[in-house]
Amino acid sequence: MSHSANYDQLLNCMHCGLCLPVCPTFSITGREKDSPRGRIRLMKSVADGQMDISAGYMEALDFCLDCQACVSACPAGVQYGDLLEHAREEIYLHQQKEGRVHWFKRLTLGWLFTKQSRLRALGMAMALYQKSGLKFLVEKSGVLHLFPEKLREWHRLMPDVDMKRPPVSLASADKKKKAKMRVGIVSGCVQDIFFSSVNGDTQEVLARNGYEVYLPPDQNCCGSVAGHNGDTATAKELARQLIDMFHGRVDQIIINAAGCGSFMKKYDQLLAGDSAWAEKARWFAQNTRDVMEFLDENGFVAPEKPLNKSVTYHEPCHLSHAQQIKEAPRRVLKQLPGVSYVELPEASWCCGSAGVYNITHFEASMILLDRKMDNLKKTGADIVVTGNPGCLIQLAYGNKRSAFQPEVLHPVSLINRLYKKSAEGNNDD
Amino acid sequence: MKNAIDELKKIITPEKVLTSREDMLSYAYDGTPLLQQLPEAVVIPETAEQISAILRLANREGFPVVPRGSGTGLSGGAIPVRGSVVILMSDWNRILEIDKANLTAWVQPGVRTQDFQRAVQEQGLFYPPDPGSQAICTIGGNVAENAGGLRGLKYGVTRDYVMGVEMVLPDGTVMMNGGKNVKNVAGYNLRDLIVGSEGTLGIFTRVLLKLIPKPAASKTMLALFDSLEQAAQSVSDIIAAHIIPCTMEFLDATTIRCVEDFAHIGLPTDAGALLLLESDGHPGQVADESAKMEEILKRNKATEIKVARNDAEADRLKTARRAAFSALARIRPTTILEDATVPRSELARLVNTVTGLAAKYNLMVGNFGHAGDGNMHPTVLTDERDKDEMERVELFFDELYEETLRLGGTITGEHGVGLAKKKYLEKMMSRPEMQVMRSIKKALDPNNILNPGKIFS
Ligand SMILES: Cc1cc2nc3c(=O)[nH]c(=O)nc-3n(C[C@H](O)[C@H](O)[C@H](O)COP(=O)(O)OP(=O)(O)OC[C@H]3O[C@@H](n4cnc5c(N)ncnc54)[C@H](O)[C@@H]3O)c2cc1C
Ligand code: SF4
Ligand code: SF4
Repeated sequence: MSHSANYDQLLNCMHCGLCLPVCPTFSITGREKDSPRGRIRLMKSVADGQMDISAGYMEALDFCLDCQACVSACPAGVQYGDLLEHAREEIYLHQQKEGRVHWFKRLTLGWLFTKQSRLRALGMAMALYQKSGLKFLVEKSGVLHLFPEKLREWHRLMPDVDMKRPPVSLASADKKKKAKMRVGIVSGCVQDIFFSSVNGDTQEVLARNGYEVYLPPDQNCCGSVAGHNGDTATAKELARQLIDMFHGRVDQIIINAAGCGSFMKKYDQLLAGDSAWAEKARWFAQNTRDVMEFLDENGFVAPEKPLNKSVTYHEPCHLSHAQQIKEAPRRVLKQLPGVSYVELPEASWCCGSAGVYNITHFEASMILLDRKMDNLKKTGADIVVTGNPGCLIQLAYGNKRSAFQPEVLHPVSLINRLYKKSAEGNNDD
Repeated sequence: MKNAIDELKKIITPEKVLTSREDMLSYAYDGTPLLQQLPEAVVIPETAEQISAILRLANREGFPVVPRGSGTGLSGGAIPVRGSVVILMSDWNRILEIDKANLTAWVQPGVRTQDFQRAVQEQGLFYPPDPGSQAICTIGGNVAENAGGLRGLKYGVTRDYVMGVEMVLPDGTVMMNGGKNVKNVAGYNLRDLIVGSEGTLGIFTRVLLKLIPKPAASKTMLALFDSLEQAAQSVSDIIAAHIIPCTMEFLDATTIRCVEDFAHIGLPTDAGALLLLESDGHPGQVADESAKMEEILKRNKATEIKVARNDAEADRLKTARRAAFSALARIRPTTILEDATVPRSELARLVNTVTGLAAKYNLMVGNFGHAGDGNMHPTVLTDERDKDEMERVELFFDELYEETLRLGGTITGEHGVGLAKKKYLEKMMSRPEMQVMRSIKKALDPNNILNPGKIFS
């Protein structure tokens, strides 16, 4: 039997089954191989040589959302996220050896997501398609009905492009005092195309609170897309690039996308074997903060004007389970004036976004989304906030499927809205 | 076998006959450490008639059948037998009726225990059995193992809430036993044979459960001690003072640290032992009972007594306690838990025996359990890859069970015999008892097709 750290983790699962009731894929199929316990068992079977990396094995792991709800639930402390990443890397290497990496994966992981300029070019094309009215025409003309239902739904899922970048740096809004510290914002590959305004809000909120903010342009992907798909070599390269952009330039690194944050906080593990980078990676991991975590830790200026709306909170999996940040965003929200906070039932259940899961596993993703929308309806909230671009896209799409349609916002955008409202109010006086 | 699988696909829809390697591997285990066996197929029937047809086929073709709920069992009851077909019952998860006039409920066997508790609670009713695995284990599994829980001390175990069972016997006959009568002495008491039969005498298809009114008030508290003996002595003293609280759970130092590591509820990680106590019932009675308990705890030098401020806090404490077993797995790769139970007056002696044997065999042991029931779960934290240590583990348990039996105890209080405790059963039971059990099995299952080799060979 093996003695690797990974094998120790596999053994550490004592198959008690306490993670089963929180697993979204298990809730859909009820089959053990679609549960955390079953998947861990399959990984162990591969490690023990009881099974090959079979098509069924890859399918079972592919069906996993990587939501890590099982990690929160596991009393034994099994790090399922690490196990999954390791297994996906093995699968990727196996496919590479057999020359069977899917062309779509090669194109996206190896090419598209390694240079932000490529993603932005794609974004530009999409923007053109959306803004020229072509998208509108396509939708109205009924051409879409010639395509399979799935493709039509993906068309509807695609959010509007929002790629007008905020400035590279912003001084603290408080001109009289010295800035509290210099913070850097990781712009994130997806946010940079679909949610530039969220990056702008993050920047303004931080500046408003007395920080000097640095937002380097042309950052590449943090590597999580490659990492979660098993392409560790690419992930490492992207991690080194990102560390290099910030090391020595800022005191702390702020991220507003939960998926990136959870990956960046593990750069130390990712680059542990790389002597030239290990130290810098540790610094980076230790000084990375989710924006809500940062505001909760350091406090923030209360906006003057009240919101007078009810707000609920959907927990991004990679904040709640992967980073174990559960209460911080709630504490921040509850401090906002005029916010009546309503708790969302099953707030920590995955919405089905899970990276590109809503494209690769559309049906399963929609079962989870509809469940989420039903729960949102129970809150009756005016606004739902959530700190991850994938969730923002998914919930916005949920609104297209559901009769109950709360406004979908990043929490930092909600805060900035209140700051802006307060500033306008002051001008009025 | 190929032939049998084709036949199975005629009885139920082919998609519900699983045979892939991935499926077989993921039904090869339950919650029991170190044991595994792949089945030939896993089937998900939808009606009692289908189960009946499968069992008739099994008798004809001679393959074993193993019923399975959620696979949280700790004695190997749901672990497949070589060459077997597993009948998966976890999809049978409908609550069929909650009868508020008779305080009963009909459920399918795959209903999860906690889901059922919540459903009856919404109607102001109460289903007390609450095994640590209640979030996922099934009523069928509970009935088959006669599962206990945190509230067993005052409210008893699953058996005390089973009023009727519909089941398919090994030969395929569908039998209904029991009903809504509170009293019934017609014929042999089959219920007590069915409950705890560990999937060897029939497959349950419907269960009629007894409900009770929800207690009006409850109070949960936590008492901390420097030593194990003080905690164990408190338990004995409370019982001796004729107080039967709803819950009286014990955790030793190792278990406290693991639980705190997982649940972050502020347990002091330097405490030597703790008791979790709950008193429930009429508010006056709760106040009186908990005051008396506090007095006894203080007399036994409890260093601190914390009272849960509200239901949410009480729930957090109980949920943390339920995680104890799995939380112990944090320390070493392999976690082997036992189920030794002694008359309550002997509890302190059992606890000391565990500590002594752990030292003798140089093993790391966490100990916790349903102290009020005299039911402890000494848990060895080890590494299955270490041959030498595993031999010592074996000796540890052999000696522990000898001592348990000497104290007038039993080899299993609630987890069942299954595969894991077969070798101890013969030591505990008299020859006539074993003979009667074997005759019953033989009479109901002459071809030995239903979960063969479990409990005894
Ligand atoms: C973390 C943890 C905590 C636990 N805490 C407790 C506790 O506090 N108290 C306690 O008593 N137990 C406890 N257990 C043990 C276990 O959960 C119980 O034995 C439970 O009753 C098993 O239910 P299951 O649905 O998982 O059954 P399974 O493990 O699937 O099966 C158990 C047995 O029931 C049989 N069976 C299942 N369904 C049927 C059916 N429909 N008809 C006939 N036979 C059937 C199986 O053949 C098998 O023999 C715990 C286990 C874990 C992992
Ligand atoms: S992952 Fe954790 S909770 Fe799930 S079966 Fe394994 S030990 Fe139990
Ligand atoms: S990561 Fe999510 S989907 Fe995957 S096994 Fe864990 S709980 Fe299930």
